[in-house]
Parts: sequence; structure tokens; C-alpha cells
Amino acid sequence: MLYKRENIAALIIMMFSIVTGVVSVTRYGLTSSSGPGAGFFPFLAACLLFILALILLAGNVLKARRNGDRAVDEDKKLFPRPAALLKYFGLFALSALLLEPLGFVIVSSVFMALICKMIRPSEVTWKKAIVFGVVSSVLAYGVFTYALQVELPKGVLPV
Amino acid sequence: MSVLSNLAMGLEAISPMVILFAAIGALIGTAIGVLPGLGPAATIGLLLPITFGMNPLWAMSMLCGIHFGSMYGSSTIAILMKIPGETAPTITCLDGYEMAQKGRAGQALAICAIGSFIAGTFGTLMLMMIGGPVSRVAVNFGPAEYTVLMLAGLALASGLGNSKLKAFIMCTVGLMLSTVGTDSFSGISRFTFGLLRLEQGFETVPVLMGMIAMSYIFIELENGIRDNPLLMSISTKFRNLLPSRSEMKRSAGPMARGSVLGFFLSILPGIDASISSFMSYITEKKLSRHPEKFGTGMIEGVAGPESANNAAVSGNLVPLLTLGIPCTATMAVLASGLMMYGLTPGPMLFRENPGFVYGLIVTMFISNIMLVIINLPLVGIWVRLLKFPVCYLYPLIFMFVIIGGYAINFSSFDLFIICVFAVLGYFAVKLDFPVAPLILGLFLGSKVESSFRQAMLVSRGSLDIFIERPIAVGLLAFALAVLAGVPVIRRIYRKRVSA
Repeated sequence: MLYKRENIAALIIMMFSIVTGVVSVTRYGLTSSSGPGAGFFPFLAACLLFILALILLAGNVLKARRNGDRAVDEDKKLFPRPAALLKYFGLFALSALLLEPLGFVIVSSVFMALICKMIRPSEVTWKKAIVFGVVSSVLAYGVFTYALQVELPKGVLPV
Repeated sequence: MSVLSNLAMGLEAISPMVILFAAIGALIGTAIGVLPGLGPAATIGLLLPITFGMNPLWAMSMLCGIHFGSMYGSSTIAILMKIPGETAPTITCLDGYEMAQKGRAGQALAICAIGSFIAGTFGTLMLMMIGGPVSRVAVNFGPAEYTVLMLAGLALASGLGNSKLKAFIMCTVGLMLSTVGTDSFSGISRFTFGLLRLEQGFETVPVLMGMIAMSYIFIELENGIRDNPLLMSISTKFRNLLPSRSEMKRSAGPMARGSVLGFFLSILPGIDASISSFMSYITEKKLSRHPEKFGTGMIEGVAGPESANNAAVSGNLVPLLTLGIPCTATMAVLASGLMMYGLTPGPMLFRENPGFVYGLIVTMFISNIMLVIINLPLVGIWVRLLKFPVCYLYPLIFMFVIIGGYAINFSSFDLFIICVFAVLGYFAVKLDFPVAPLILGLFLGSKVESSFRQAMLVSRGSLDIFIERPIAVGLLAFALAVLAGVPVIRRIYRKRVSA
């Protein structure tokens, strides 16, 4: 059975290794006056990666020819719920972006309330989600900042 | 120096705070370990930044407690729900779950805790006995020996995934990522894209948090997590916990064999706790008068693998503490922790900080005691934690990732690193590429490179240095022997398990 996804991954890895290898040689150099240059090790790793990815790709192609299969993917979908995934990921990235300007308590409260609501939209009310987000964020802020001396960003709140 | 004087040195370093942090670690580790999917590496990775700035021994006592606790926690969920939180307790499911189904969950969990304690104690003593001598040999290692040793470690550890080829690919990606940052020999910035923060290269912890923890969470959320009705209905009472005298007698042999097997197998790079526990299960089945009953709730099938599982933790610490080579993802995280506290794992650690090393070993012993004291009476509570609704549980895990990621350098930049590696980890999991070799490659990459370049400087560019030095040749031969031996061991246990 040939996995199309694996072949795409192998091709991406091969492209990545070519770019890295070329940059290693042209920008950092393979040799220096005292021995191997700054580009030697990344170039070596890039070559190895290219060969390994090529073996993966070639192995899949040979398997497909031997079995007479066409490129087929596994039964399950690669992205079962892409919209949900993007929402969760986007929220996490946004909270990383806003953490320092707005502060931990605000960002974490909003983030947790939204995640809580997104996981169970019908069972969790907005009131419950907001109370949960605010209480757990304030508690975590207190424990980490005052008890464990891990100073979290204050942001706009005068705490 | 004798074992007793080492022990005395270790005991001197122990304070009430060490005991307290070991207890906290065992408690937190077990609490997180019972959550399916978050294994010891991810748990320690999530909580590692919190220990920044702490006394190294306090921090390591907490991390060891977390490690032992999370292993016990994943065994707990494996026995109660047949859901192994990680690979090591997979084999425990077979008989542990059957015991639970027959109303003997308490006995299974108690044997698991007692076996873990015995094996942990044995492993700690063995580590104390052989750690020093191994490190004295390792002091004579030059850059050529280190290069060979680390390359061998990488090659062997890469064989841990389902597909060796994919594991090697991930390991090489890790090696390439390790070259990001300022080159220590020439001062040239490599692959930093002008970002000042990347000059120091990628730190292991945010990479690990993204690749292992966050990718798993995103996949779970994408699949639409649901509260498990089985988890909601389970009940365990303390009076059902203690095993009978005959069960203890039946478990004694498997515990002893599992401890010895688990420790000595896991000293070899590439053999982790999961293989040790599989080998122990096979051994017990082979030695049993009733092998046909294995898989139907035999207490030997829980006692042996669980002991091997725990002894393997001490065994894995031998190459880390004596040679500076982390052979598993968890050891790589612990090594990152040591580096964070300004301690470099390797032979010099034994020479320069013997008090810390033996203190750490005694700490592991204390963590084991704490594990039993805390977990035996608290089984019912751990089961109740499983009933915590996922809509509150996952936001809390997210919050810990934000806190942990930010606290590494007190900068949001590491959160973006987590985001990037979460995406990479997500695709790696989806395409069945193992994540652990990338972490090992990233951790060992800079060391391999600097050892190799030092060796080249010493030999004035000649590769003969790797075959001229007897220790390097010996290591190469040993690595090749293990490389050939591990697949044989794996083939044997796969055949047995499938049979």
C-alpha cells in the first residue's frame, strides 16, 4: 500500500534538505582554516536527510509497483475537523501574541472561557465558562507569581 | 569509594525540602500520569520551567517524583480502564484490566505500587554501585570517543519508533534543528533569519512541549473529545486494595526478575521501559506453570512488567549521568533540566558534583517511598480525577502550557516556538513519524557537532582518529553489537506478543 501523504512528506523533506544544504555551502562554508566550517555539519545532516527521504519515497513507489496499487491514502481523513483545529490553534497563537501586552489574567481568562465553551457549546453556559476562566486564571496567577515566584505578565491590570 | 560512603554523601545532601518536593512531584506526576496520552516526558516537559531558579536538588527531586508518579499514574489508568497513557504499561493492560474486571483492581494497583517501589529501590542501589565506576572510565573519553558514542546513541535510540526509517528521518531533522543559532567555533549565525532570540538556538523544552504535548491536545480537540462513560461509573474503595498473602508470594519472583531485567536491559541505549516490561511479561509467561492463563488476570503479569518498567528508569539514568547521553525522550527532558540548573550530564558530573549526583540518587529512593505512601491510600481519588469533565480539563492543560512556555525565558517568543512545533508535531503524529527521535537529535546534535569538530582539530582533519583510538573502536564495536542485538530482542518479543 502506498501512502500519498508519506510521499508528499518525503518530497517536502527533500526540498527542505536541498535548501538547507545549499545555504550551508554558500553562506556558511564547508571548511575553515582550522578544520570543518560552520556549514559542514548542517550540510552533512542535509545530505543524510535527503538520502533518507529519497529511500522513503523510493520504497513507497517500489511497493506500489510490486503490489500494483495506485497511490492511495489511508481510510481515515487527515483533517477530520479542520475548522475546529484552526479555531483552537488560532486561539492559542492569539493568546501567545496578546499575553505580554494584555497580561496573563485577561488573556488566560478569555482563552479558557472560549476553549471551555468550544469543547461543550451546548452543555456549558457562557456564565459558567467565564467564571471558570476567571477563577482558575486568577488562582494560577496568585500561586505562580506570589507562591512560586514565577512572575507572569501583568499587562494592563494594576496587580 | 564504597557504596556506603556514596550513600552517606547522598544522605548529607537531603533536606526536608527535598522530601517535600519529592512528595509534591510524586503527587503531581501521578495526577497527570493518569490522563491518557500525557506520558512522563510531556509531563516533565510541561512542568520543567516551573522549577527554574530552584535549588537543583529540590528541582530534580520534584522531577524524579513526577517521573515515577507519572509512570505509576499511566499504569493506574492502564489497569482501571485498559487505556495505557503511554507505551510502557501497554502490557500491564492484559492482566491488570482483567483483574479489574474481576473486582481485583485494588490488588492490581497495590501490587503495581509495591513492585514499583521494590524495583525502584533496586535500580537506585545499582545506579549507586555502578554509576561511579562507569564515570571513571568515561573521564578518559576524548572528542573522538564522544562523537562515536553519541552517534551510536542517536542511531540506537532512533530505532525506537515503529519505522526505523522514519525515526532516522526525525532524528536527522533534530540534528539539523540543533545547528540553528550561533556557531560556537566561528561565531557565525546559522539559520537565525535575523531573529536575535534564535541566536541561542532552539531550547529543548518548548520544542518538546509543542511536539509532544500540544500536538496531542490539538489532535484530541480536533477529534471531538468526549467524557468516557466507563470512567464516570468506576468506583474503588481502600479496603479492596491490599493483596492477599498468597498473591504477594506469587508476585515476589516476578518482581525480583522484573527488577533485574528492567535495570540491566535499559542500561543499553535504545532499550526503554516499554521493551523492558514486554520482556519481563514474556519471561514470566515462559516461567509460569500456567502460561495459558496469562491474559486472564494473572497477578504475575502485572507484578513483573510493572517492576521492570520502574527499574528501567534507574537503568536509563546510567548512560545519562555517566556519559551524558539521554537514551529516551524523558531522559532528554531531565538532561535539559540539569543543563537549565547549570549542571552538564556526563562523567565530570560525578567528579565535580558528587554530592549532587548521590543526593539525586538518594532522592530517587525517597521519591519511590513517597510514591507508595501517597498512592496506596489515594487510588480512589485518582479515579475521581478521571471523572473531571474534559471541557474543564483541557482548558486547564492549555493554561499550564501558556504558563510553562512563558516561564522558560519570561518571553512570549517561546510560546510561538511551541506553536510552530505543535504544527510540526501534529503532522508528524498524523503521518506516523515518531516524535522522540527529533527531541533526541535536537538535544545531542550540538554535542555531536562540537565533539566531531574538536576531533577534527586534534587529528588535523584526518578521520583516522575514529579508528585509531581503542576506546572509540571498542565503542563502535559495542554499538554495532547492540544495533544488531536490539532488533533480535524486538523480533522475539513481537513474535511472543503476537502469539
